[in-house]
Amino acid sequence: MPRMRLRVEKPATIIDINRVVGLDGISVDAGAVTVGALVRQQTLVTHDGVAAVHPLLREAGSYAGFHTTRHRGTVGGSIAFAAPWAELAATTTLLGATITVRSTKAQRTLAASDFFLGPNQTALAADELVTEVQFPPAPAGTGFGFHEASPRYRDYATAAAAASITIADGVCSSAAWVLLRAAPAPLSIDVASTLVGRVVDDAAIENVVQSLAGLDPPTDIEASGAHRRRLAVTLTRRALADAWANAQEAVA
Amino acid sequence: MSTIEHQIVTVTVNGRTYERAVEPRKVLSDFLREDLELTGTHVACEHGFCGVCNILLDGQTVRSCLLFAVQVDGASIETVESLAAVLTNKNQQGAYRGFGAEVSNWILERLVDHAAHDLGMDRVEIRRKNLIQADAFSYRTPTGNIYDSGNYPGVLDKILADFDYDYWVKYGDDARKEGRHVGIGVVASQERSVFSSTEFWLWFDEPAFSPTSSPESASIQIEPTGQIVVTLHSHAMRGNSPETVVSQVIAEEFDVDPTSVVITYADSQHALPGTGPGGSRYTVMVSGAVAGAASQMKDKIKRIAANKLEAAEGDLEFRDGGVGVKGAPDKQLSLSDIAMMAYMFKLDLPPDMESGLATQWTYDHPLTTLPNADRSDLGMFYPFVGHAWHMAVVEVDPGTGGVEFLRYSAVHDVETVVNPKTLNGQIIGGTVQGLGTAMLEEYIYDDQGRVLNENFKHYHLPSSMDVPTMTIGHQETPSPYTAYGIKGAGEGGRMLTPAIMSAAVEDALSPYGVRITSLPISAEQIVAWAAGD
Repeated sequence: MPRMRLRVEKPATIIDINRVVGLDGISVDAGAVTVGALVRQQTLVTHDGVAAVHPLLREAGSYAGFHTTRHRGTVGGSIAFAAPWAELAATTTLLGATITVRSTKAQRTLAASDFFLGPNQTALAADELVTEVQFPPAPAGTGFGFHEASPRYRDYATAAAAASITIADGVCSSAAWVLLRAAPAPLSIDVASTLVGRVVDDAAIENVVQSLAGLDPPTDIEASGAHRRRLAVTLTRRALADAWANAQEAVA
Repeated sequence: MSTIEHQIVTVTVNGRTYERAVEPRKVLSDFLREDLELTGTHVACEHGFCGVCNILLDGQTVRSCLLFAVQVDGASIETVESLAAVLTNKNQQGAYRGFGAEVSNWILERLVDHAAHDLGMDRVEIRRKNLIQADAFSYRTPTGNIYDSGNYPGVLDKILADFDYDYWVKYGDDARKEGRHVGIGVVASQERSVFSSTEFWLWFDEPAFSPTSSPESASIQIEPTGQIVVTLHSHAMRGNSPETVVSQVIAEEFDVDPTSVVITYADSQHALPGTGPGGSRYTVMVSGAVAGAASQMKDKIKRIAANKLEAAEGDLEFRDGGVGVKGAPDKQLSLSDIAMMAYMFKLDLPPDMESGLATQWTYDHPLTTLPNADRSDLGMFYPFVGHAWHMAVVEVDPGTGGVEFLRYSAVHDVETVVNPKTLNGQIIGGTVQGLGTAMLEEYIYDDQGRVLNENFKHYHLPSSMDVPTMTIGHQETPSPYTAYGIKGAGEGGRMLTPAIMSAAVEDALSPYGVRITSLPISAEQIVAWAAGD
C-alpha cells in the first residue's frame, strides 16, 4: 500500500488477504507467542497476554506508525514490507523470532535474522506470503529495553536500540542487542560474549558501546551516518541499562 | 467617414530603434504589443490604476495605457523585456505572519541576552530597565512610526507572576547540578499592527505608485423580519475570524444574540473600498467599519422609535433585540417592528425620512502620515503596537537532541480582547508556527538544487504532540485611536518563538558553551554540540 500510494509500484494483481481464514490469531502458550500475519499492530500492542511474556512487543510496537495506522497495519505487513525504521523488524530479530512463509507449493520457516536483508528487502520470494511469526519464550529473569530517537514525537525512527538481558545467579546469563537504522537491515550484534558472567554496570555498558566506533550507518536527508552512530551509542546505553534494571526486577 | 491619417513614429525600445506608421489614436500599450510584438507589457485595468502596463519612458515610470504612441515619437523606452531574470528551481518562499519581525526580534533578543550575560545581569532585569515606561506614550520611534499606547512593565509583571520566574530559575540551577540540561528562554516583543499603505512605499527607492489609502468597509441591512445582515467587502483569507468578530460587535451595539447575525460578502461588482486582511489589520479595521455603519443605523432606528414612541432620542436604549425607553420596560419596539415600518409603513416614519434600513461605512486607517522626501522620517504606517512576553523552560536531551517543554507562558497586550478564544487561537498558532521555524522547518537541496524533502514526511512541521501546553495571559491597554481600542494580534506568536527557542536551548546547553547562530536547531546539531563538535 505505501509504495502504491507513492506511485512507486503498480502491481498488475493485488490479492486482498483480509478475509483469508486463520491468519489473524494470537496465541500465548507456555511463554511462546504466535502471531498471525493479519493481526493488526494495535491488537498486538494492546494484548495483555503478549505483554505479560514479551513486554518489549508492547513497548516497541507502540512506536510502530501511529494509533490510527496501527489499527489498519498488520504485523505481517510490517514484517514483509521491512521498512528501515520498522520497530517490529527490530523486535522480531532481538527476540529470536521465526517467520513462517508459504507459497502454493511449500511452506518454510526462517529466523528473523535471516529474513531482513535491507531496506524493503527480505528473503521472501515473489510467490510467498508471510503467514505467522513465532516468538520463543523468554527465559526467567529476562528484562528488555527499547529506546528510539525521531525528529518529532513518534515520527519515523532516526535510530533505535533494543536490548534484552537475562540474569541468573546475579550476573548476566544471556543477552541480545539490535540496532535499527545502523545498517541497511536491523543489525544484531553479539553482546553475550562481552556481558555473560558479568554485572551489567556502567563500565560493562561502556565496554559494549566502544564496539560501535567502527559503525557506519547510512546517511540520508533525515540524518548523517555520524549522527546515527552517536544515537546508536546513546540509545544502546539506555536500552542496556533498562534491560538490566528490568531483569533485576524480574529476578527480585 | 474620414480616416485619420497614420503618422510615422520613431522610437527606441530596449536599445533598438523602430519606425512605424501608426494610427494617432492608438495607445502606446497597444502599439508595443501589436505593432512591435513586445507582449511583455500587459494591459489589465486600462485606466491607469493597476500598473501592469508600466514602462520606463526616458527613464521615468509611466503607464503605457495612458499615452498615445504618437506622443513618444523620438523617445527611448524600456519595457519588461529589457530586464534580465534569473530562474531557479529552488522553492519559492513567501513572506508571512510577522515576517521581518521574527528575524529582527531574534537578533535583538539574542543581543540582549548576550549583553545580560556579559554584564552579569539577569535577563529579565536588563529588559525591564530598558522598557518604554507607561507615561511615554504615544512613543515616537527615531524613524517616525509611533507606538500608540501600552503598559509594558505591566505585561512583564503579569508574566512573572504567571510563569513564576524565580521558581524556574532555581529549578534550572538545581537541575544543572544533577547533570540535567534545563534552559530558560525569556523574550519580549513589539507586535505592530494595522499597516497603512504607505508601508509599501518603503519597499522601493522610487515607488511607481504611492497610495495613502487603506480603508475597510461594512454594510448593514436590517430586513423586515428584524434579521441583521452585515456585508463585508474584503474576503477572510488568513485564518482570521471576521464573522465571529463582526457578530460580536453587532451584538454589542444592538444588544442582540451574536449567533443571530448573518454575515455575507460583497462580490467584486458591489464591493466598497477594502484592503483586506494582512499586517494584523482586519479585526481592527472591520470593527471600525462596522462601528461606523452601526452608528448610522442606530441613529435611524432611534429616530423611527422616538417618533413612534413619542420619546426623546436621548432616552432610548438598545435592549433585548430592540429599542426602548430607558426605565420603561413596556415602551419598547423590536428591530422587526422598526424594520417593518421602514419598509412598509412610510407614513409611520418621521416625515423627512426615506424608506429602507441599510447603512454602509468606509473606515479609513485612523492614524497614518506621509514619509518625508528623503525617507529619514518614514511617517506613521504601523502605529497600533501591542506588546508581548513569552517565557519557556525546556529540557534538552544531549544524547538524542530531543527538546521537551517543562513550561511555556505567554502574556500579550493587544488591548481590547474581542474574543478570547480566537485570540488565543492566533497566539497558539503563531507560536507553533514559530516553533517550526526554530526547530524543524527547512528545505533540503542536493547540489543540483533539487529539493529533497518535498513532502510532509520529510519537511517537518510540529505536530500537536511536539508543541508546549501554553498558559496565555492578557493585559488590556486600549488604543486611543481605534474603534473599541482594539489592536491587531494575528502575528505575535511567530515573532517570539524563534528567539525564545534559541535562548532556552542555548541556556540548557550552556555547559557546552553553545552559541546558536542559525535555525532550525536540529537534533543532529544538538547532539554534535554536546559531543564537542
